Amino acid sequence: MFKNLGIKSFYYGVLGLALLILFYGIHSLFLPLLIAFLFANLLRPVIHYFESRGFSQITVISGIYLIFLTFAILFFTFIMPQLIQEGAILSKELPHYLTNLKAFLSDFELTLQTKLSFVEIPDFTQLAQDFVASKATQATGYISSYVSSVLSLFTYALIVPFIAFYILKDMHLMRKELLTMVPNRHFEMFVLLFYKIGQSIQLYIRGQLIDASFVGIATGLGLALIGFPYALTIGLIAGIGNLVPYFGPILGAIPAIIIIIVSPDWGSPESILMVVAVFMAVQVVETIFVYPTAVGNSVNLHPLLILLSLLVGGEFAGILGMIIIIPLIAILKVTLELLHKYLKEYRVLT
Amino acid sequence: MKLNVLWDNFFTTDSEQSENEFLREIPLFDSLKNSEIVRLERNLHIRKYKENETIFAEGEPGAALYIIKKGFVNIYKMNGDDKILLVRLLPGNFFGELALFDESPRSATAIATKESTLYALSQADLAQFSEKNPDIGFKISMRLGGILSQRLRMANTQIEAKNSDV
Repeated sequence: MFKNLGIKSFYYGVLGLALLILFYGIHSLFLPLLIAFLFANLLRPVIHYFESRGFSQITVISGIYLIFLTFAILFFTFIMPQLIQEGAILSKELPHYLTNLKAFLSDFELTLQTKLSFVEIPDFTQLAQDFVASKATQATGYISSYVSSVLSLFTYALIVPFIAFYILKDMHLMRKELLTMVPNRHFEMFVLLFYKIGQSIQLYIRGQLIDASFVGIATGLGLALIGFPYALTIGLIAGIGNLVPYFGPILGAIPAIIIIIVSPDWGSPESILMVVAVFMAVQVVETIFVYPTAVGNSVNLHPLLILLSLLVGGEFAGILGMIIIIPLIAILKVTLELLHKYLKEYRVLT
Repeated sequence: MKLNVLWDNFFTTDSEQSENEFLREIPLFDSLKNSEIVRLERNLHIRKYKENETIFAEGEPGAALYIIKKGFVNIYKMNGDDKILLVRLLPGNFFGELALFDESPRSATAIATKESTLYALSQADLAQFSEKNPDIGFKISMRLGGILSQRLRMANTQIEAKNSDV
C-alpha cells in the first residue's frame, strides 16, 4: 500500500503526534491562532496587490492595521452608540413587549380552549412567566459570563492582530523552513500541497466573508428602508448568522420575528409581510447571485457532513462553535482531498 | 555577535555576493539587476542530493525548476525498465522548466550522479513572487520564453536532419 515511506516518515509521524499533544495542551490558544490564520489569509491578496505597486510588506501591513484601527474607532464612535441605543430601547420596551406577549398567549390559550375544548390545554401564560422568572435568576450568571466574554474578546482583539502580523510577515519563511525538513523524494508534492491548500482556503474564507457581509448590510438596509426598528442590530445578527449554513437565515430572522409578534406597531399582516419580503429578497439575491460568485464550488461540503459538524461545533462552543467549525471542516476537507490526489499522483499511494 | 546580525541586515556578506553572482550567470536570470536577484534568491529552495538520488521521476506532476549549483545531474527517458540517457547536466545548467507553466507529468527522470546541491524554484513561489514583483516576473517569463523557443528550434532542426537522413 505505502512505499517510499521509511523511517523518516515514522519520525515525522511522531513529530506530528507530539505537536498534536502540545496543541491539545495549549488548546486555549487554538481559537486565537485559527482566527489569526483566517484573518491573515484574508489580508494576503491585499498585501500582494500593494507590494506589486512598489510598497514594502511592512508598510502595507502597518497601513492595513491603521485602517482597521480607524474603522474600529469609527465603529465604536458611530455604530456602537446606535447599537447600544437600540439595545436600550429594546430593554425599555421589554416589559411592554412582555405584557403584549402575555396578552397574545392568553388570547391564544382562550381560542384553543374554545375551539379544542376536548384537549387539555397547558397554561401558556404561566409557562411564559415561569420561563421569564427562570431566566431572571440566571441573569447574574449571564452577566458574569458576559463580563468574562468581553474580557476574552479584548484579549483576542490584542492577540489576534499580533499573531496575524507575524503570520503575514513570516509565513513565507515558515513555509520555506518547513520544506527544508521534507525529504527530497516528497519535496515537489509538499510544494504543490502547501500552495493549493493555501489557495483554496483563501478563496473559501474570502467568499464566505463577502457573502456574510452582503447579507448583513442588505438585511440592515432593507429593514431600515421599511422603517423597522433595530435594523442595524438585526442586520448584524443576520450577517454573522449567515456564517452558519442552513440555520443561518433562521438565526438571523428569529429576533425580527419575535419583535414583530410582541411589538404593537409591527403586528399587522402588512408589516409582517414587508419584513418577510426583506429577508426573502436578501436570501434570493444571495443564493442566486452572491453565493455562486463569492464562494462558488470552492469547497463542496456534503449537507450531512455540515449538519453533523454543526452539532459538534454547537456542543463544544455554542453559536461561535457553529460558526468556526465550518471553515475548519472545509480546511480539513481540502487538505485531505489534495493530500489524497498528490499521494496518488506521486505514487506514494498505489 | 548581535552586532553582526544587525550588520547583516544592511549589507550583503561575501558568500551572499558570490551566490548572487552565480545566479546572475544563469541565462534565465541574466537580465535581472543585483537587487532583483537578491529578492528572487529568497524564493529559492536549496536542496542537497546524494549520489544516484532521484530528483524527480517521469510521469509525476512537475512542481519546480532546478538549477545545478554543485554536482552533476543526468536526465533519462524511461523505456520499460531501461533508462535512456538524454543529457548530462553541469553546474549552472537548469532543468524541469516546463513545471513552471503547469503540473503536467514530467517527461523524463532526473537523477543526481554525484553528491549535488540544487536551487529549486517552484511554480507556486514564482507565481507568488511575480504577483508581488510583476516587473521581475515579466523579465523571467520573457527570458524563459526565449530559451524555450530556442530549444524548440533546435529540436525542429534535429528532427529535420533525422528525417532527411531517412
